Amino acid sequence: MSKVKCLQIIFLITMQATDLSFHRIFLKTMFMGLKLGVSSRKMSYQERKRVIKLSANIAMAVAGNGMNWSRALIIRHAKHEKNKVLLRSLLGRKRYESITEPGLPLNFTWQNMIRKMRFRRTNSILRRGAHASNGATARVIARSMAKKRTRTLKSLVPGGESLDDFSLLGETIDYVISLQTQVHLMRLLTEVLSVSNLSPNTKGGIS
Amino acid sequence: MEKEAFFGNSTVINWQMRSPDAAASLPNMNSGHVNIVWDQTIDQRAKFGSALSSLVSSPSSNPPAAAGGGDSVVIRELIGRLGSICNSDEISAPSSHYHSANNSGYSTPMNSPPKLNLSIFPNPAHMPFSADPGFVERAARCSTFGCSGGGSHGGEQFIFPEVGKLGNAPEESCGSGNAKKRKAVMKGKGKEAPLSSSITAVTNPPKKASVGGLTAKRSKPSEKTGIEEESARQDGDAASKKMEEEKIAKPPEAVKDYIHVRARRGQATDSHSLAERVRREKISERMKLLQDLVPGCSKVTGKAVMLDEIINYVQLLQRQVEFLSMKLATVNPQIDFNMENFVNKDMEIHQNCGLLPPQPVYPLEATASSFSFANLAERTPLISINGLELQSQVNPFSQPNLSRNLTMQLPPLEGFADTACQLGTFWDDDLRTVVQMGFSQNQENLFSSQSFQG
Repeated sequence: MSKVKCLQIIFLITMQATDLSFHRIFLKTMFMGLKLGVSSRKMSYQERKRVIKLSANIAMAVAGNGMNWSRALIIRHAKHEKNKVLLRSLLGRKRYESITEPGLPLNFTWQNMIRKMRFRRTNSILRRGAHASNGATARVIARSMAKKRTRTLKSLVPGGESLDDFSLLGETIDYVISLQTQVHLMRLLTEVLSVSNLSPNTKGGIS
Repeated sequence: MEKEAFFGNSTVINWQMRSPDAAASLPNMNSGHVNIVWDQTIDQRAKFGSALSSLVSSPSSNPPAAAGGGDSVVIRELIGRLGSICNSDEISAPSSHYHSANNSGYSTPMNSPPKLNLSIFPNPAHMPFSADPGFVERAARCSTFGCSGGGSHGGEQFIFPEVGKLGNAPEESCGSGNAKKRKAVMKGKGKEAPLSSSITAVTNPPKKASVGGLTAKRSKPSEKTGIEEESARQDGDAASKKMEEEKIAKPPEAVKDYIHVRARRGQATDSHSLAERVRREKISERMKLLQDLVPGCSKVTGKAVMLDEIINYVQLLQRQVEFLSMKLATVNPQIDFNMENFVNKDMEIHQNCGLLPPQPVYPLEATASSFSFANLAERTPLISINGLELQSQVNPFSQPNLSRNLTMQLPPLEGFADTACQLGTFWDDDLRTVVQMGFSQNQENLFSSQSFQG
């Protein structure tokens, strides 16, 4: 009985608060993914985990619609053959194809291309300059450190490789917020599920 | 608006309007104008050739020109004269000479010194400009316009002439007591320059600054005044040419957005450093946002450390997701069955909620009623407490500013875990610590849970 209550608490919260579109969409997609993906009991633990994680990520991407990272995340997951069926059913065929259709890379524009080329050029110039000065000043070191970290961050944020510093930060902000929400909701879900699954066992003797 | 004014033929008026509020001392400003004008008239002359030179007629300035030998004294002298010319009504008179709609801005500059230029500035630094085709091209299109703000004496704060105009003004002061050269660059917005007499300020590149003796320093941006986003490219090199071409390609957007930038004393004021400064400012703004978002990041300083924190946090969150999905996978094989229930109940409750007032401003009421709706009589008090807690946690979310509140909302969750999940308390370890402890811990949990259920 407590299971039902907990679930209802969660859903009342998420469904009532009309502003929480992110939460609602996330949970909806997540449940759909779980329902579609984790259907059989024969699934191995690893497999189940993979599907759950996939559906959580996709749910996040769907809920954070419109941002660069969400598309990149979907595309990244869509690369694996195993995920394709679930992805297609989660996103709907039309959207799935519109996102994952092969062609120019994500957010490709010629301007970006040109900018990237320019960036590379300036990079090489900088490097040469740093070499020439030879006395590695603190500023040069700090800059290279920041650059290195920026590169790491780019690899962490989906679709971040093709972004410049400024938009990378914007994407990062959005991505972090979404991740926080995702973690929060998944934790909530875990707790509810663990309660709901444990309670029948503990109360199994009684009922 | 300034823009329309610029597009009209009233450039001269604008210029006059601008000059008074730009600076306190007119003569010096005018000196700036004059300098610019001279520099550019070289180019323009090259371009326009005889046609303009025939139009040019200002007898007053010619004699000094002949006498001038590139000396600053001469320049000052000229400045004095030209200053008076600029401020006087003569401005309008020369402009009337120009029959065509375009380039009314040429009026004073062109009139006064065209002959002077070559003699006064034999300086090789100017040569690149005249030689550069891009520059000539631009010069042909736009009229020169000089406007400098700022104090008369070197090192005072530089004020950009006007909002919406691209003012880009490298500030240079020549040595100590010499005539101050101010070069202000105004960039007209119009790509329609030929038609609309837009004013472009083209200044000399940094080379000139070195001549002046003071090199512009870069320092941090502090304030902003009106500068058009696409600022005038001052360098006469190919890059500027390219930019110019780009601008030609898309005039409409160029008009729209501009950023206010004000350079402080000692700051570089050429467009590149200004643009760079704006960019840095925007980046630091976002960094600040991220700082608020990432816990424990507010104390650190330095971009690298901050990025480190952000990276760590993102990685932590990703690992948490990983962990949570593992946990969800371990929760039960019955998960599928539950999901069925979930989704059905989800819909059901959602519909129930639809019956309730759609705007639960304070959702507590709504939850209470819906609980009674669900016929959960026996444990209603506890649940309502839970509901209250949860609502209070979730409430911040309903505010539009999601980003701020997200961080606040995570901690209380554990409170919920304690109250609601009394039975499953062994899961209630702090998730983060568990995550950091790694997979092995989780495996233990997994086994324990399975044995527990089995």
